[in-house]
Amino acid sequence: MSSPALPSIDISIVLNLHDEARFLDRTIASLREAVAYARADGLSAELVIVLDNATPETAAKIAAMDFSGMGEIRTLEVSHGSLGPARNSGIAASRGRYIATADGDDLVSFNFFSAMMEEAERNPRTIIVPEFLYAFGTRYHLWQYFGTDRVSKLAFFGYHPFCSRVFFPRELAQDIRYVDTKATRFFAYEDWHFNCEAVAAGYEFRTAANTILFYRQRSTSIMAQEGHDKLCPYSKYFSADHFLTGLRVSHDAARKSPKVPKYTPEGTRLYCMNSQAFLELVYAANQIEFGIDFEHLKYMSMGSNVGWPCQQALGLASAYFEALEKLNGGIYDDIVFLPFLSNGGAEKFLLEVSKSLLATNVAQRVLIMTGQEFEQHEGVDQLPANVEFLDLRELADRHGVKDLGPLLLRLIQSSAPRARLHTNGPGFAIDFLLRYYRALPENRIAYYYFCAETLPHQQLHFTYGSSLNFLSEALNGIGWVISDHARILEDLGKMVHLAPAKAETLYAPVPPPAESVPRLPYSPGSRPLRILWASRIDTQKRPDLVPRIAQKLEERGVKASIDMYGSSVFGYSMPAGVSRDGPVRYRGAFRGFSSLPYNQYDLFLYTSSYDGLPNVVLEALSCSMLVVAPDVGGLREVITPQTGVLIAHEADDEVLIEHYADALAAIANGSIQPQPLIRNAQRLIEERHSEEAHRQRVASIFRPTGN
Amino acid sequence: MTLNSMSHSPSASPVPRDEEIRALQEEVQHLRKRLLKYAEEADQRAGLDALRTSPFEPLDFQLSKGYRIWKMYLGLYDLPVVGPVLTAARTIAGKAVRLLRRLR
Repeated sequence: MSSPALPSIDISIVLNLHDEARFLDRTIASLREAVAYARADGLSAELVIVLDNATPETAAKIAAMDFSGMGEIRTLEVSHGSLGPARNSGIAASRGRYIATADGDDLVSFNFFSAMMEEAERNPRTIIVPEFLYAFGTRYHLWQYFGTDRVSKLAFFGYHPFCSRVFFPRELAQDIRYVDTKATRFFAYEDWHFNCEAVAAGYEFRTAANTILFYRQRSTSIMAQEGHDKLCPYSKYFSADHFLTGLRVSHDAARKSPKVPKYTPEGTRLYCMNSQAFLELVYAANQIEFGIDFEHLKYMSMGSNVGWPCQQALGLASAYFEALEKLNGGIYDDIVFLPFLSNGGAEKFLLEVSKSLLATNVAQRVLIMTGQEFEQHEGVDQLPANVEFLDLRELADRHGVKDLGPLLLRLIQSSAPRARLHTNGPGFAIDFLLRYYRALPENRIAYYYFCAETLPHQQLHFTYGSSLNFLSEALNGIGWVISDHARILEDLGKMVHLAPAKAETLYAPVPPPAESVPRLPYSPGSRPLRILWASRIDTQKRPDLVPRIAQKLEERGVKASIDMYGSSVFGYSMPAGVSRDGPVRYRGAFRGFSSLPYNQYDLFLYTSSYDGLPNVVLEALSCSMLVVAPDVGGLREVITPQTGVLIAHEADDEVLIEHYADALAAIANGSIQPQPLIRNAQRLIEERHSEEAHRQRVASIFRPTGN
Repeated sequence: MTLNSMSHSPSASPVPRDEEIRALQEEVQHLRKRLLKYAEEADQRAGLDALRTSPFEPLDFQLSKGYRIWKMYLGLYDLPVVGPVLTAARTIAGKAVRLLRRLR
């Protein structure tokens, strides 16, 4: 059996061209010098020219060009319109033992291929990169590269520590191909992705000493860099398997010494200004391209792949490593983004959705991620099985990571590739989704929208629609807009062109009361009306209305006492007229409606200025209380003339207070009979807000992800 | 002398001229290689190589007086004239110390 013949060519230079006719004379002259220099070492080379949708000028230039002294020349015409597949075509057509990628507008130092070959032969399974990148043209800077013996492989997580000009053994190209970033419609940097794949395949990076890539900066390069937010596509490098095993050594090293040595650009400048070798190389390049000169070295900014970007990337990668360790290789069906974990409000609603997803087997594993600074998350220990909790903000802060975006993106790609992304709009989640939803076509967004914040200004009520911005911007990536009531979805349909198929009403489940204590029905005139008010003490819930309502009742001769429960948030102070004793009493904070002595009261008063369908009202109804509430948000869907007393919402406080006083007076004098309303309300709650109804509804909205 | 009088010149025949150009180009590359090698050696002797391979801010211990004196002392051994003399002196001193120990 004969083994296949080894390629007789040492180096294949794969030169990709599209619209570089005006630079080609200089590019080819530079390559010719480098090939001639390598030939003096006994090396052979071929030039594979890939014309990818080349302009007629570029194709004509290549056809007319003198390539003498360049070794074998092959020309390919392809129409990928994308650098990655075009490089793959060139590599497939090449025959050399080593591949050197090349671009149409850059130049190289004459020692480029010779030094790279020497380094490559010394280090198997290694990608060789130039030691210096001298950027010239519209902008000047110099960048010094160090290999993976100095730059942690963790750095690839946060940025590309190397450049697109690489020199590698043919075997690598058999295992790894350049990705078509254009097909992803979001990602860029096929070279970064290729190098990530190489790291995952166990390759190292080394620099060839004193080699320089003269990297032309064009006006289009500046425009390209403006989209700096772009990252490389997902690679095996980011997989939990590779990160936790392949990069464990790097992570341990980074943990031992988290600070990378501080790079001094002036050291590099001193070298470049005084080195005879550097002078030789720059002078030779200057003879071909006048844009490359010595004078700029005195002033141009200098940097390195071991400087601050490396430090930032290490922090990011370390946070990612720890997150993966915590998730322990789990694949999630659903991710819930919350600002923090709490037992009430929107957080509670999303937790109930998670429970129903698991209970109905629509999801096997759910991950809750919080991104807001918060001292004590509530209920972490009480999370159901198969629900993981990750405090992303705490993790990021510990590693000095400011921007959660890349961290979240890679976590989703590696641990939740098809997961639904649930959010009610915390800032970090909205920022992330607006930036990256196009990058996650497999991850559909479930956006929960309960109410729009309304704030008064000079007796005018302004609605604040920052969450509508998100809906308008990312509507294409949103699979579901879910609310705890239907009214707001109808409004949204008119405002943001929300397709009815995406709008889903999901009524919140209400647990039945723990104990059913019979309450004596209120007999008009027998005693003062006992009113319960329980909400957050803040602008939204309008506690300031309560003493004014009490005063109005007193003016009308209606005997009533109001007890207020709740705790102040955002520094909101208790309104005047509320005291420990008197007609309006403050009774302190409460933890859930069931903790209140609700049986001691005749009705529940709710005064919110804007809302969704609040839990506290549903719980009051469930506990057989008569509810008096304003017609805001979805309250009319539960408080109807058959189930309670709905107060017409008015912008004018005086009119509003009159309405409340009218209703309470009617109850006090017996015009409104509570019992039938209470019975109807209870029936509604049992039918529509039961745990079972919730589960069925969740299962009808979502389908298993197939993870 | 005019070109016409150079009948012996290889430029008279195109084929030998190509070979001569190739040979000259090869020589240029060899010279270039030697020149670059010398330049690199010059950089090394000037201590520039360390700047290239390690352009980092010194660590705390590298800033200490003792370390700097130690590095200066070691630097003496790299000097063209003093270095070999010091090396020889150290060898002789070492041998003397060992001999003295044995004599005791």
